[in-house]
Amino acid sequence: MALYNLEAVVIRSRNLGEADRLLTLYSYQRGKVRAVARGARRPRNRLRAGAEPFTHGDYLLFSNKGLDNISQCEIIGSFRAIREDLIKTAIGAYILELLDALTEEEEPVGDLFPFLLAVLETLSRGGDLELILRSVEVGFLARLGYKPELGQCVNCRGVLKDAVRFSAAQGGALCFGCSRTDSDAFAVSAGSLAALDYLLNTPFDQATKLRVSATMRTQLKDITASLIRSRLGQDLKSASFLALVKETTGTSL
Amino acid sequence: MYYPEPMGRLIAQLRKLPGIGPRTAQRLAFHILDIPDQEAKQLIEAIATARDEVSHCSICGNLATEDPCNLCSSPGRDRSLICVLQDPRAVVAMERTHEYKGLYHVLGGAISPMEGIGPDELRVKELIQRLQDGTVKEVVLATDLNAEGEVTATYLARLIKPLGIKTTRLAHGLPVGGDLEYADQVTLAKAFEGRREL
Repeated sequence: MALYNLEAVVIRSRNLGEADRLLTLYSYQRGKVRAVARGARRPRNRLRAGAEPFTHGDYLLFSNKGLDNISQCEIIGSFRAIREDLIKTAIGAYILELLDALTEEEEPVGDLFPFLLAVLETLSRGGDLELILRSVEVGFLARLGYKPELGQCVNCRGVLKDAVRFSAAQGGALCFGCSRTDSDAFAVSAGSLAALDYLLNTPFDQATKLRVSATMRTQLKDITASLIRSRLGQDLKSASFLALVKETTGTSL
Repeated sequence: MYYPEPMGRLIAQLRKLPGIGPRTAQRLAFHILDIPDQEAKQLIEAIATARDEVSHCSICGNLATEDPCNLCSSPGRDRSLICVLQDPRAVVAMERTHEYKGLYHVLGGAISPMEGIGPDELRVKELIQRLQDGTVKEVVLATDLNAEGEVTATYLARLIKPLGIKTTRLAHGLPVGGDLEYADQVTLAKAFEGRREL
């Protein structure tokens, strides 16, 4: 029975059997890992707090024939500020589900783990939540190899002028001449592409200080939503709760 | 299949129950065959009666044989207080304390954004409807103390507070009989926040 350590964030936690929880961890060492926290639903169980979504901790696991089991957990941070705020919880759940949907098990990706921690810390502190969300979406996509082409036409590599469309299927901006190559491509402004480029190439905590107009925000949302739908082929389950929270609280997200 | 067909069917049905694996299903099937006729008939009758007679109270959503249930129709309960719970099993746990004398509202689950369970899948509209006539002065949100329970409580508080009703949450903290050194830091921090003067 091999024991191993993981520094990880719980990205999903589901009930299993009578008192267990099946956790999906995103770890620094191994990327996405699934493991069972035995008895984690019992009030006195020591794994209980470490089995909650958003928890960042050091986990000791032992490998089994089937799923690995969590033996011990030392919590580094619980991100309570996210869990105790309705809007942040809705955004956080969407972010964790997006990460889960975009990644494969046991395939660690470059700086995705530190990026996830930076995201959760920024979300805890608050700020422009809509821009945080957009930055996370493009940040995940870029780190997983789906960085959109924004500097030149994704089809002909030509220079982009004023009339630009965005094609999620081709993964970038189309010039006027190539706009007919994708009937689903939609019009975006050069300013929106520049804002997206800024979000992609600026450190995460700085990127969210960008000032953008309401029209650009809508276009940024359309771009990231179309890219995610194109990669996943479906909408995330938590997107509907996010929309409901937006409606209930009157927040723009 | 190595068993006679009716025995195989019984094992297959028992295996569908939660937490029952193939070995346990076999053991239970053998036990059912071994028990006296009378006991087996009582088991069959208990299952059939529970299925036929137990339903959900149209007011609180708790399990009941009458509608409204005996808790909702009891004149001795405090009608200004409603305790919101996820599950009928939590009603039993609360009643065992003998501390709570108000009414209940069972949601039938908790909001789970990542599983696609939203307020529409729960008895949230029914709860808000119960709060409209001004009788209820306090709502105790006693959903589970995990991520789903927290998001449900936070969401409900957003809906209930504008109605001018006091909204409270069950305290978090250390279990009775628990050693402080074994408590995790999140629980301990919550317990510290909720400390009270002696």
